[in-house]
Amino acid sequence: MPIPETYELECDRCIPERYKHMALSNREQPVIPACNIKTVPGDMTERGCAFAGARGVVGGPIGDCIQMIHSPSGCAWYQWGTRRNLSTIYNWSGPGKLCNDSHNRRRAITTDLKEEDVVFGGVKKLKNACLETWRLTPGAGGILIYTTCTSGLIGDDCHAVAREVEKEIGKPVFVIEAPGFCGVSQSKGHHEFNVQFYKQMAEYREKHPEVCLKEEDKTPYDINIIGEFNMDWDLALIKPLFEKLGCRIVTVFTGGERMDNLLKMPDAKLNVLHCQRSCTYISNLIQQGYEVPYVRASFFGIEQTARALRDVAKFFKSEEMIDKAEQIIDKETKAITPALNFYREKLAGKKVGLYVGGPRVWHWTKVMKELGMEVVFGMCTFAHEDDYEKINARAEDSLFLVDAPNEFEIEECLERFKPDLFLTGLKEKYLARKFGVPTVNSHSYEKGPYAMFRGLINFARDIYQGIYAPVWKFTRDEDFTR
Amino acid sequence: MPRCGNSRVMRTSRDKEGKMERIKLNGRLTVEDINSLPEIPVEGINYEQIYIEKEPLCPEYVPPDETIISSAKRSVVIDPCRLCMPFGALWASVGMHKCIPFVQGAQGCATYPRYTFCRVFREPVSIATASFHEDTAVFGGQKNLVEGIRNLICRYQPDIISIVTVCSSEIIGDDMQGYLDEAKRQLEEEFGPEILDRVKFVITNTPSFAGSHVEGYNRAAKSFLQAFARQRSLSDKVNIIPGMITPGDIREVKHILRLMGIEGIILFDISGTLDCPLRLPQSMPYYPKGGTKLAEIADMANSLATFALSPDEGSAGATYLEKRFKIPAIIGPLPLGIYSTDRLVKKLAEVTGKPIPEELKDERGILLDAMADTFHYTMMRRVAVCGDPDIVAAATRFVCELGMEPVAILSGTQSKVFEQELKEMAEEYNFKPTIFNGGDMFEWEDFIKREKIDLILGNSKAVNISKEAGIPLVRIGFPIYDRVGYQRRANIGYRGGEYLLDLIVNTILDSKFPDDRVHQ
Amino acid sequence: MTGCISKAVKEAKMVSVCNINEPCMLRKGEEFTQPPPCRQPSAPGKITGRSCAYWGARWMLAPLKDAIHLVHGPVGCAYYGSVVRANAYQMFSTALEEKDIIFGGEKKLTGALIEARAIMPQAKYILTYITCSTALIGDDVDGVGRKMEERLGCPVITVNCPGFKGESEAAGHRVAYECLLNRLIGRKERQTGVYDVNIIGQYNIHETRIVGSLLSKMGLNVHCVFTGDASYERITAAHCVRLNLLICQNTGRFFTEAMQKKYGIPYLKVSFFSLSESIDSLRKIGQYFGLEKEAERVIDEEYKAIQPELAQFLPRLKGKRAAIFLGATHMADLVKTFEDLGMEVVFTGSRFGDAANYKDAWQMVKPGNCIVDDPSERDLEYLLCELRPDVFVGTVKEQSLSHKFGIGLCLCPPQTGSYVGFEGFSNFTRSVYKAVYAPVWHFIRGEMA
Repeated sequence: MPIPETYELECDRCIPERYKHMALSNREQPVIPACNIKTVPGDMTERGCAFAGARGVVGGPIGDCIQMIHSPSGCAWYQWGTRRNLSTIYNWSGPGKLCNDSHNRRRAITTDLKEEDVVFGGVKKLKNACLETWRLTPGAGGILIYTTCTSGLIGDDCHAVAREVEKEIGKPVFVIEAPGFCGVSQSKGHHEFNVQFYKQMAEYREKHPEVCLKEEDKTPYDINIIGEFNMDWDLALIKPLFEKLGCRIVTVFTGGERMDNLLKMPDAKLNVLHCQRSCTYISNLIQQGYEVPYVRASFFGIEQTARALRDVAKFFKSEEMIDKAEQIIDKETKAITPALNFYREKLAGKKVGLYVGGPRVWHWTKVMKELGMEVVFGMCTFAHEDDYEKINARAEDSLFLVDAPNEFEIEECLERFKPDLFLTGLKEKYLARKFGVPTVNSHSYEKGPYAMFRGLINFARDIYQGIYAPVWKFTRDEDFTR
Repeated sequence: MPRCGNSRVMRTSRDKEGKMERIKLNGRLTVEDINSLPEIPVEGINYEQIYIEKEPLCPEYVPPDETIISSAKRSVVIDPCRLCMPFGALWASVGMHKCIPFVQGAQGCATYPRYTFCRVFREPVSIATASFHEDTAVFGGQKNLVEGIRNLICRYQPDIISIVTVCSSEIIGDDMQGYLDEAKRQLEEEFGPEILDRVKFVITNTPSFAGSHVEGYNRAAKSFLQAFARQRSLSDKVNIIPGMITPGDIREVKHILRLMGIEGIILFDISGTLDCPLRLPQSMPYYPKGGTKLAEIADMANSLATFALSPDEGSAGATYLEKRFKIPAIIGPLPLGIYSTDRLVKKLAEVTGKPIPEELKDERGILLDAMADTFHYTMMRRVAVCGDPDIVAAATRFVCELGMEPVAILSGTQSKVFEQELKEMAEEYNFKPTIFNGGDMFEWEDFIKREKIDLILGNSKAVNISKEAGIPLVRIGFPIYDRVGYQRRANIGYRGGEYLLDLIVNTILDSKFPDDRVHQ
Repeated sequence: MTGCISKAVKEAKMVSVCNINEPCMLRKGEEFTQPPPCRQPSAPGKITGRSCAYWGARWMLAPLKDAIHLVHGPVGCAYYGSVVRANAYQMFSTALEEKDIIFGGEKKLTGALIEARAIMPQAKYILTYITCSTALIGDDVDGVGRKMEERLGCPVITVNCPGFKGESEAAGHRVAYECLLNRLIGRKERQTGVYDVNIIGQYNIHETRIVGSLLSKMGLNVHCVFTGDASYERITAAHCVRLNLLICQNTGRFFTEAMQKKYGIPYLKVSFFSLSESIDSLRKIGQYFGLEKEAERVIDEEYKAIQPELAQFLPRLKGKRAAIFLGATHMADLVKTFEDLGMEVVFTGSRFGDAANYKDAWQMVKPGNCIVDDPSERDLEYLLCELRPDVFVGTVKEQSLSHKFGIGLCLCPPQTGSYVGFEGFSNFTRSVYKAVYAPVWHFIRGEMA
């Protein structure tokens, strides 16, 4: 259904093919804009490449592996210590002294392809690089080799290298082929990582059955948390609640997790799926391959977190667990109510615009309502149809939705809808400020974990700090605005 | 006591052992603590307040294998101190007025540089991409280029579109000139012939595997000048190709020119585009006010001389102007510190015939006064430097002028000029540094941890090394993203030298002098 | 003006810059065989380097850690007196205001003494400083102090050092030592060991450490260091030693002579500034106690330890020229030090030196070089311009001046470390090397200057 004329953005007049990417939400009859299709070239898109999705989002948080990037130095440099996906695993920097940053963020390891490698092939270099890095990193759990545009186009056979290296070092060596031009956005990278990782994991488990969880070690309440990347220590708030519920967490995919644990993923009883854009694929595959079901969950906001805990308890059909869930929800809600009331009072009626990758838009629509704020528009970079269905189900009617917005559209929406706050990422942060609109970083957070009950206070606080910073008052001074 | 902020919070009861534990935790809370607090304070609890028990990767420290520490003996590059070539060309394009760079490649090659610019300069940067998908890799990027340029022009109306290639477009062998011609033909059809007067195009070939960002800027300098410089009537202006220095540095160059009464044209002037005020109402689309204009770059062919301040970043442009228009090219060194700034000022005076003004001499005197006041703190201190070749060579010379001893010098990009300059400096000031020309930060880090070093001059990537080795860090060069304000300050010129000297001496005083000693 | 003065300096006439007939700079040679007169009051307005008696008293008494230092006067004196030799000390002050000056400050002083004692109950005694204002309004600080002694339970000692006393800081030095001598020394008794010594005239903590360690290595027992390391226990029993070692003869001679007269303790004049003096002093002390062998061993050990560093710097410093302007005693000590370095001293001077100091300096300085007493700022400028030394040893007040003339300044006493003993000699060599060879002088003397 095309959007009404009043909603057509001026900046897209000469590229009317963008209008099919916009929609107004509707609860009864969900409206899905065109999504996950080719980007319009030259429209100043915000999308990234598949390599970012594969290595940056899903592969990066793996805590103890060597992340070997088979490319010229740029691709590795751009991802060196950028996202704050923290972990407990640290390497040594000197006798008795640990490194300043966790292992997955500390180093950028690349083969730095040069002209002769592009012409003659880089497999020999890759093999040597893997073995040298292995010698320099004792204790690593495995190697993940990523290919990029360059190595994808020159056709290096990285799987062969992986097999040879695996034979030599005796630990898993996986190859993730997600070159940048793959797919239309980061989303393809997520997909490729999930599929390829699953395939290689299944093969490895067959060849080395000792890495699987032994029968006697399994408990009836084993779960995995899938799609949680431990931004700013979200896991410090997530894990304890599930443990209090009575579950045992076998592995987290992939926040700060060890390779050994990741290989035990199919041995759990239930997968709790948080980021449903990047990791639904592997949950489906595990369900097909190992008959482990999954339950969708959202760890943001009071209502959604409560539902997640209840769903998990219901799955296990244990009275004790269901009671426990209620107790936890009660206690947690009490713990945050005083602070939350303070913020609700301050944020009542404020308008907020959402622009995140995909799932966070629907994760946070309910959260905004809980905080008393009104969502004026929602935009996603790489969402698929199911994401838009969920947004339609949760948002108020006639919410303006844009798929894969570009910079000009963002500017126009900011001017047209005039939100008090814009929840977005780093690139748009500085743009929004030039228009006098405060922002909160929605990908890597500003300060502190935002998940579950207790993290909501941090989220509310950062929003409050954005809206009430004294500087915005000065930007509107009459004498100085032209 | 754990830092809980709000006094309404009840403390969990702890005995004496708990008290010792809390002291060890340095005011932070364990995961268990956070989840059992009966009430969360209004300030919330951030991740830096959470005490995380760190797990070492292996039980004990194992010193790295000696045979593969040096980067020359390794295939793998660990912690490179360089980026890929397109970034330099993008930096150059961003310095032009109403110029939008168009990256012929996958979306990542535009988004990542945008992230980098945003982090370092804290400004919005617009970079368009051709959005390569799988079919492009098979069939070539013509359709993307033609469609992309058309969309860009009709929505943004830029003055210049700077087309930058990346490794994927170079490997699949896109014929950029041919595609551009096709694009122009279609534009003419759609918008009429005047469109080609309003919008100009430049193509810079920057395959990422053939060099680093330093070379990218160099190539962009040449391609822009090739495309736009036109000789009309000779003027008495002076061209400046700054290289990859901060907006504050460029403002300092303008200040020196203004004091001397010289009119200068600064190519790729990011002081007008990457450091802009917040003034409402904002016009749409967002275009910064400044940057080098097209008319200025055309005028560069008429000047008296071209000064390429960074030898490796921009000298290609200067030599092009020399060959084509017979404009003398004066290449480097970067005017950081007394000797190099003196050379620039003297050369400017020589070329334009203008005298060196009193104010400039006073500024020089103030810097010398600062150096005279502080040599007791700086002399014979051992320094390690890392970064891009031009800024590293310049900073090393400055550090020698302060009487310090450079010990470990790392240039991320291999450079002959850099090596030559360091050799001259070593003879002049009589020291023997260890030079890592084109190495990576892993071997530099290993060297630093074995030697006794008093100070590191480096970029933000050296923070981990500085914390681990316990050596204070003074931030200089590119990129600096974990502190604010460095892009607004100058390091070059006399005033920049004062600022850098203050930073260096204060850092030494913070770390080497006990707090109870009051300066006499 | 410059031509006039250089002619005068060349002819070594007695010269004055401010048209006042006071001789202050003399060139040693055939025409002048005696040092210039000293301890004269400074002419008003000449921009002298001297300070006041309160400064002198603080210079002596600040390191006494277990005392309460209470300044009876307006708040400025306390503020300035809280930093001595680059260390910050805690100060108490009565902070007198207008009404106190009019109606008298004794009541405020009483209250302050009680409060200070309550804040620092662990202090062993109280020192009350009299300043210009309180001396002029006639507060009976001493009377108040003695009355409060019983109530406070500790001695309350008045330091009578108003700023206008005497002609320079030297007056304050004497007052300080008098207080210690009259009110503290002799209160307790102890067993006198065979090798017990006091060190008089050592104020700097780092210097104290170095000299103390040299003497202990020789087998001596350092009882009390006046005033670098003097606790109440040690001061009160300081008269029970075998020998006093006098290091700073300007400030300490009065004290050692008084102790000799009162308690019969002999004194030995020693110096640990400069290599040759340190060696001589250690030998002299060894000879006195019969510890010659130990003295030689210590000298040997220490000298070997600094050899490598000296070998690195000495060849490059040979033949350079130096100038000195300090308090009093170091004026002569440093001439010897520079001799050890192979450098020539072109002029040396002091702010408040006495006849004995100048006699020493006169003997050490080579003919053709200048001695200066209490020069004004312009005198210093002319000396620096005319004689152009390569390094200037002075205090922080002269630092920026000498730098503007392109001459490196070496602070004495230094900010960190010290210049006494063998280790100190090597520190000094390094500091002088830095000052002479800092790359900045090369730029200042370039064509753009």
